[in-house]
Amino acid sequence: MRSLRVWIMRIAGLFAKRRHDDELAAELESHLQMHIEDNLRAGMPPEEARRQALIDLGGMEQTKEACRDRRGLPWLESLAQDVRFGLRMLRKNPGFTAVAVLTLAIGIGANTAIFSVVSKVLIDPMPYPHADRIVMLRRTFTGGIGLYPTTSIPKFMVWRQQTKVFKSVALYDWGAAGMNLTGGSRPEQVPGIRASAGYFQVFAVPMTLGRAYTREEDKPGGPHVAVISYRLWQGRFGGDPQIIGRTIEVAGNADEVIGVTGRNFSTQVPTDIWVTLQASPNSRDQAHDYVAVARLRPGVTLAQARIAMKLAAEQFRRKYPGPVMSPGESATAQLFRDSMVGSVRPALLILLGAVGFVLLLACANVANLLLARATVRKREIAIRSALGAGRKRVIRQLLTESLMLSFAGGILGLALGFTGIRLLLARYPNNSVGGGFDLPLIGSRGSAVTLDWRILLFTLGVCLFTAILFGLLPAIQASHAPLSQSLNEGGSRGGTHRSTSRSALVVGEVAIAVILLAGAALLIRTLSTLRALRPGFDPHNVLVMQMTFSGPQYDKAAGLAAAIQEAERRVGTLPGVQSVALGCCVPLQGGSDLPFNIEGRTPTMGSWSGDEQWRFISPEFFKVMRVPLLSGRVFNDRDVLGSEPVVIINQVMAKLYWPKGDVIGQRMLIGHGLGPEFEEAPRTVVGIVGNIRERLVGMTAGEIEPVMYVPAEQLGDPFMAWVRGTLSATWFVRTKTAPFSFSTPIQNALRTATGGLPVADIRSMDQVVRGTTAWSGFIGMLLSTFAAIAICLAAIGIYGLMAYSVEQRKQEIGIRMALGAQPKDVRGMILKEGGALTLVGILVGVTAALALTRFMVTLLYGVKPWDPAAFGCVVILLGAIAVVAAYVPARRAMRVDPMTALRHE
Amino acid sequence: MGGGKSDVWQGTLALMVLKTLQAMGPMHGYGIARRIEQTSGDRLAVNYGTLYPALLKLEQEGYVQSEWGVSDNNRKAKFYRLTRAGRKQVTREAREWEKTTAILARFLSPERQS
Repeated sequence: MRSLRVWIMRIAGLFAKRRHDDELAAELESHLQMHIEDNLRAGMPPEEARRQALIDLGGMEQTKEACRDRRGLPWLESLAQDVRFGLRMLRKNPGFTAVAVLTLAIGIGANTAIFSVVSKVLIDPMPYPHADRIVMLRRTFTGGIGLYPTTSIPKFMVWRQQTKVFKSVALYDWGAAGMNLTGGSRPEQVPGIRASAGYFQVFAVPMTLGRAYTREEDKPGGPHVAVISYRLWQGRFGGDPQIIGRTIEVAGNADEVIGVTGRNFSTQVPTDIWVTLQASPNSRDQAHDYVAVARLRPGVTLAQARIAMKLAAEQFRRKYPGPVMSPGESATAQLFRDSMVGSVRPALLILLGAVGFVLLLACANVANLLLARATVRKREIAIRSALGAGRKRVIRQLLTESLMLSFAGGILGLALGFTGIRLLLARYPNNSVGGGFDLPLIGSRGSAVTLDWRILLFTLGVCLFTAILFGLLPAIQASHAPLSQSLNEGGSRGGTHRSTSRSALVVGEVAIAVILLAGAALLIRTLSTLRALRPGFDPHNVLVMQMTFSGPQYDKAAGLAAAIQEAERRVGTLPGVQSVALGCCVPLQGGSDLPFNIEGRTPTMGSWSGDEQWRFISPEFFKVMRVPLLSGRVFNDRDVLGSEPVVIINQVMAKLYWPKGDVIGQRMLIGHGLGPEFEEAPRTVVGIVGNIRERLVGMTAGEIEPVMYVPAEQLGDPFMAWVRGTLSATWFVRTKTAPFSFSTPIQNALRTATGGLPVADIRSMDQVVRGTTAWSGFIGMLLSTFAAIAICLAAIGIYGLMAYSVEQRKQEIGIRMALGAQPKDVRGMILKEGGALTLVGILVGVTAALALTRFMVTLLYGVKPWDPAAFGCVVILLGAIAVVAAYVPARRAMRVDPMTALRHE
Repeated sequence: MGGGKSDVWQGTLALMVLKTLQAMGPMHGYGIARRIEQTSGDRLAVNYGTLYPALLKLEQEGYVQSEWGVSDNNRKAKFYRLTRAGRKQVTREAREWEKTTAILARFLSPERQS
């Protein structure tokens, strides 16, 4: 309490200084006069009386000074002094100041930029109440296949009985394929999911209007009800206040709108409509097409939830013995955030490490500048010391200057870094369906990355850290200098001891540049590997558009067959269009797999012969994609329901399962035992086609998966009834020239052909191919930028040191040349010096890089983290740049005139 | 410093100032210094220079208050007087001090103890 009062008084004392000083002077004066009078009274002569009084007071000025220190906050006042002086010094050397501030701005800005993304993705809580209590329930497999996010309805029905740990559980569609909003003048496809009623409790969904659906409504045979998003309500329905109770046509059903979500409620995959899942507890649907989430009960730990899930998995195995659960399969709970960001975390941490290195480099460079300047300022500092500045005071003065530099750099860096990252994120469309670039939680085009207190605090921390890092060493060194020596030297020559620390700094800079370059080089190699991959199809001039088949006519296979034939007739004859086909999935972006049995073979995998990628396509698919037929025939219009069931496989699959080559005519039974919707007659293999890369994610370089293709027109009625209204497929249209110019007539023709269904997500196949490298490209671009900065900073560092060294050794060089050294010997000497430092730096850097690049392994494709080619390039590039950086000062050394140099002595 | 006078330690000076103000009522700086010397029987020499920072500190802590007044010889001077907090502080400090001296006394003349 007392000390607080003292503080307030002292801070108040900072103001009205003049008045306080006057008052004190008056008080002391009256004290003095009283003392003199007393002394006179005691019989002293006037002169003596005054002298004695002054002695007893102990010096008027010292007393005033002691009171002044006591009254205000002396350190604050001297800080203000330091700042004023520092400002003057920085203004006097605009070149130095500009270079230092800019270097620091780059270093700090890079950190702010990356941290603002890291903060949003890895640190900020997700936008749900108590989001850290939400877990994703998922399958696991022993043997390193990792975590599988999806599950099936029967598994969920068992899992959800773990009510001791889960307060609420929910199951919903994986991926939000898109739901058709028909009725009204403008049919539209909007992202929607089927979700169980628990969804609204798990995510604690706020409601603007109405309510969420209940568990009763979510039972099989329940009413058709839907919840719509605030955005859809405002957009399509114009914010209609009467929306509750209105009937809308969703996926061919008449659904009653019962609720509108809160304005700020956001989902990780954009979603505008939620409809009931109405999953049956007795379902035998074994397809793993759903995501399960849960909210933990208060007090339950993640570890407890994991144990519960393991138990639940075993319960399921006991309930459904047999093939529906693989031997190594179990289940676990994972924090919802981790399940969202798990795949990008390593990349973000690597970027954070990279900018850390950039900052270190910037610090090293500024420290180098300061060390060089300290030689120039030696005299100034010596004079200050001579005038009574203590060592601490000198260090404080120099550190204040460093802090000012780093704060100026920090402010500039914050502006640069933050706007930079926002511009960059805006260039990379996020959440584009299957775009390959998917940084979760940052919003559309990075809109969720905002300047918040955490970023400001981080930048402030970085500034302080930076100032100490680059400022302390030069400050301590500068304050060390013995007074008389520096005053006598006249400031033209510096000591040699200083260049040791400068050399160490340069070695460190080269090493860091090597590390960053190595990382960038590995990613560039990855990118070129990815880009060199032949997809197995011709992506030029192919337009793809997604469609969800809803409506009563698509509950049966014949409806889909009719739509395909109608589309071939209408779209195929459009001017500029060569061919059109339907396929379930876009190549390179994955799809589903199904287990199968080969007739006449004993099962090797549980009750199956194997489990491979499964695609349905229309007859023209291979023609549109220009995939070669290697053997047998492709599908045709006669491969419909009722005719002989057929299948085409790719070359990889043929080689893997029929190594002897006798494939055509073999029969296989696909999906047997998964559930009634997958039951079908055995299919005859009628053809082998060239390999298409169906996906890249999770594949090792060069690996192509086996694929089986079945005719879309042969999907069974039970299957069609099962997917009812949610069958998502893609139209592929080959055009004669640039595909987008035909987009509108194609869309119109497809709508007419399918009875008014809208298309969505229109892209060219070229875009899809580019999208597969977007993420690597993004990381690679950032790392390359950082590496380029690193090279520049390191080169400046080497150049600076060598130039300084030449300047310092002018006399020595002059003497050498006077004694007969040739200019090229001198050049060689300087180059050797620079070369030696670079070499040590490269050695240190390569060692460190080898230790660090293995953390990048998840980002690499087709390249080993110790890739000799990448490392070789790095060493050569850095070596060359170092030689150039040292060559300029070396040439200057060559031109030293011995006479001028010697006359300096 | 001749005459066998001791310097006043900083810590005790504050207590002496407070005690003096308690005994004498409001006083100016010079008066306080002279009074402390007199009370000590001229065995203490107050370096007047240290008195003013000490007074300032007491004022910041809220134990004394100052205002300008006129001295006996018609001279303008700053007068210090004890506040309520200051009076409490005197009692507290004095008690502390007595305790300390009592303990020290036991060390310095142990034979009296038994």
